[in-house]
Amino acid sequence: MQIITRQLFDAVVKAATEVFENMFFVAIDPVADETPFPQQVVHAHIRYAGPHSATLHLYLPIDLARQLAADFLGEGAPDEQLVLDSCAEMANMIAGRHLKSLSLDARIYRLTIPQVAVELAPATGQETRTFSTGSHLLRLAQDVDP
Amino acid sequence: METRVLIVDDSATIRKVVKRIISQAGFAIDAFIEAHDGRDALVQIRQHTPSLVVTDINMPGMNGIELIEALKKDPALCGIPCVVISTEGTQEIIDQVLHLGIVGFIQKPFRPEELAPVLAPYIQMAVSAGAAHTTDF
Repeated sequence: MQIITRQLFDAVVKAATEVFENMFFVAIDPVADETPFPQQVVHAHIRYAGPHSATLHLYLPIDLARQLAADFLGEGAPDEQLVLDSCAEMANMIAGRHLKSLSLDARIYRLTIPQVAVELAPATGQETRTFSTGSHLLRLAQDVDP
Repeated sequence: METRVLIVDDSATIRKVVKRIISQAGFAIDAFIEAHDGRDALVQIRQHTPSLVVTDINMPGMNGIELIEALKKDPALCGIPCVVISTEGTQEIIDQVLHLGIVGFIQKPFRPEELAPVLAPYIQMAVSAGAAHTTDF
């Protein structure tokens, strides 16, 4: 991973940590990427464009997605559509927080609308990190445009 | 006169969370109205005349900035206070919506306890206006 890309990803991780702590009251701790990860996940992704452009990916096991959505909403068992919507909003907030940290020189980044689906978890790559909430794993990834 | 709050966001999650935070803060809200984008919000506003509009910026179709611009251009609606809750937090965006006359800006992610104090003055004004109206005869 090039240094600049790694620095950008470190900033994404920082943003994600803040979002999970402040909005979802969950602490996330890095674990080895080789840690076995659930096959089926909720995949939320969002693209931003500006002086550099990238897509941020958030992968959550379905149980964790349901738990986070229920806690965030204050509801016992939100329906699947609401769980997916909550995950999309997580990606949205992570990206927004990340962009705010990038925009100190007043250049403009713009966010797209987040997308979300239930999918098979992809293989880890260079710009991937795995985290533990204590009871579940989640994964962040980034694709920076060349 | 009822105190109505319109929550505008394409995320059903955020609409529910904002509604819950406002409810739990103890405000005397008679009705919550929800809209999923700016166009839907304009329909709801013309139908229900909310006391306060809480809106996101980044939405498909008509976005929050376009919604606020439409409200400010309409003499019948320009007095409705608008608060923005959004992931968009660059100074350019903040300056743009402040220039349009919004009364508050909260960036996501936010702590629940940050939201109520920003909304409180406008909800309390609406509640007071409603109480004054009901005693006028």
